[in-house]
Amino acid sequence: MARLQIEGAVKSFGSTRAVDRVDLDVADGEFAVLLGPSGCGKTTLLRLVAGLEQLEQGRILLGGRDVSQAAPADRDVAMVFQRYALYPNMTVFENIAFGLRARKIGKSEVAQRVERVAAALEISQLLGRRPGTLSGGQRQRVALARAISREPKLFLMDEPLSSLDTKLRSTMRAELKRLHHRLGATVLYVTHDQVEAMTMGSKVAVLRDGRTVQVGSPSDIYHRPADDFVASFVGSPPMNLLDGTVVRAEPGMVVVGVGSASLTLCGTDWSGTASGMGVRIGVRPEDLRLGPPHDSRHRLLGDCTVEVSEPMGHETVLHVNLGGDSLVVRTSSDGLPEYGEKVPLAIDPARVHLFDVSTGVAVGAATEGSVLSPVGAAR
Amino acid sequence: MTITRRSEPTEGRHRPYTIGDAASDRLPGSSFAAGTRLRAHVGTGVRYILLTVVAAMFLFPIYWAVVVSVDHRSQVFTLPPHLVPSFDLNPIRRALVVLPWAKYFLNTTIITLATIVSVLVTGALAGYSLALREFRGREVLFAVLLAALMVPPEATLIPDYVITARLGLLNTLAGQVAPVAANVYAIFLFRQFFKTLPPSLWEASQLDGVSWYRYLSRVAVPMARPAVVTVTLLTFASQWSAFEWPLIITQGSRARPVEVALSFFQGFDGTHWREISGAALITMLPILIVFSFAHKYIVKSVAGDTGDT
Repeated sequence: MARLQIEGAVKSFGSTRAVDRVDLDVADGEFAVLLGPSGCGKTTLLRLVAGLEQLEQGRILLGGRDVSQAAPADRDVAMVFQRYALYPNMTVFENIAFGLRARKIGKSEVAQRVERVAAALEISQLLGRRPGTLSGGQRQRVALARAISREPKLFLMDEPLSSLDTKLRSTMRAELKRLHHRLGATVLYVTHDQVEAMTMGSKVAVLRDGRTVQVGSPSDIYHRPADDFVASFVGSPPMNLLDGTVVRAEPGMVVVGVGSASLTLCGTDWSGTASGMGVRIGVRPEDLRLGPPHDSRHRLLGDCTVEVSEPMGHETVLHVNLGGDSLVVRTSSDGLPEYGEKVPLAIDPARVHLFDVSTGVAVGAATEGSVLSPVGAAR
Repeated sequence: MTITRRSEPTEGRHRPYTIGDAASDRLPGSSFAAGTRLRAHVGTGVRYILLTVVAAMFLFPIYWAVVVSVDHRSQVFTLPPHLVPSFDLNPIRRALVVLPWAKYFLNTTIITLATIVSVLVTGALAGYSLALREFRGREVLFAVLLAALMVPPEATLIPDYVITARLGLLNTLAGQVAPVAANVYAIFLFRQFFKTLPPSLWEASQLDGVSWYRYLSRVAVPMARPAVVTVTLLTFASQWSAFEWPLIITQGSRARPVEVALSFFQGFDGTHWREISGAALITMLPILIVFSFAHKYIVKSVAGDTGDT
């Protein structure tokens, strides 16, 4: 296993810059996830690391060695492809052994490795079968077995669970995590699914238009999004964003007008704000609550109208309208209001994020002690 | 729960149809179904009659060759034709003895097999390069190759002869393989097939350290089995019956194939129809045998269908 360092990586296709000066440091044994929407450059970055695409600028170091110009075979990385990329004309055994034989590993060693890795992934009974006769989940295991059998320095995974159904995906997520703990492998994992990123990665890099927007732990990404793109991309349902204006900015405190109310937000640093500045106020669906506030944290925001209800069983996601703004509220499934019903909506002001409306960049997050005042109180 | 339609009473549903059946005449639904079935039967009957006529048209020349080869000499040219032969096996016996058939068959077999191997190897290699390797002028080269398909073979006969002569390959087996050792149609077929392979297979191989020729021989070509079968069958059919080129460049029995050997019976003293028919039947046998096993693939090949075989 080895540390992966990507420094100033650049790659263009024609006039489109797919990867734009990306830096990323993945520690030895770390599970790093590249997260972003389609076309954000995450797969291109993965292919640059694999050597399947050539870097234009920057460099890639693996275990301290510059592999930027090395052929894919000389990088000692293994890749699990989105559509498995198993050889249909070979049995499962041959699929796993093919790469090992190419590396001139002895016949008995090849057989041992294949059997060992097949046993670990519980596919020993499938070794004589061809990929065409296997289910999606079984093929995925074979693809993983092929990568693991190589014992590479780095595993690259390109949306390996995207072709599986929801139930199998959740099982395989847990299995991949277990496998990572057992192997202690360095993994670079590409996905557009934020659930995969949050549950599997020890480090998440969010990409947009070929650039890294934020790199951090899943908790950082979720609780301290660097901008409104990360805020709305990570989290399901996504963060609510409302437009507002800074009424007053002081060190350690900022007052923001939103709709008919104003928020007095406490925080350590609001230096990015100024009076009259347009801001976007972000609040997670779980930090909103229906009904009159019955604890010290929540404050009444106003009356909203229920537009759509999405019952999930363990919880319900409600789409409500508050003075023309659509908001999403995550709530328990008990005693829900009916469609069209008007209900009070409460907010936890200490969990509010502020973003600069012109750049989208976060200008601070509220902390304990933040309050919400009724109409005109702060003006 | 069972739902029964009024127009189809259950008691009439399983009865075989008979014309004039009183029950079905009474029931509009049943008579309609019976009418459809009758039309289907008539359609099938007409189709089989037509197929039989067409099959007879194709089989008749073979039967006629059998008749000619075993009939009396005087009856070969009679009108109306003599369709029931008198089974005189002497002409075939003579034809078999008078020429070294084993040598001719061996020559044809070597030429055909060598051509098949050569066309497969060159077709796969060139198809692979044109489909998967990046190089300058690739598309132009492919267009030039396709344009070569439009050149009639007669136009290249003299240049081919000159080159073959200069290479010292006249009257050799190699001289009959060389001009057809690579085939644009085979290259095109392999190229098209390789283009349909998922790029991730080659990428997975690259990461595994698999060389391109190992990938080609172990993954790409085995997966291109329909193309391999098509090229093999078409090359076999054309080389086994090749006549013009071998006739031009061969003399004697050293390198002559069976097809050319047949022309031995067309001498200065006229055509020996009975012998030539008998010998033609013998040379046709391998093609008939291959056809009986592989007719499904041959039909697909000729139809240009390279789907799953």
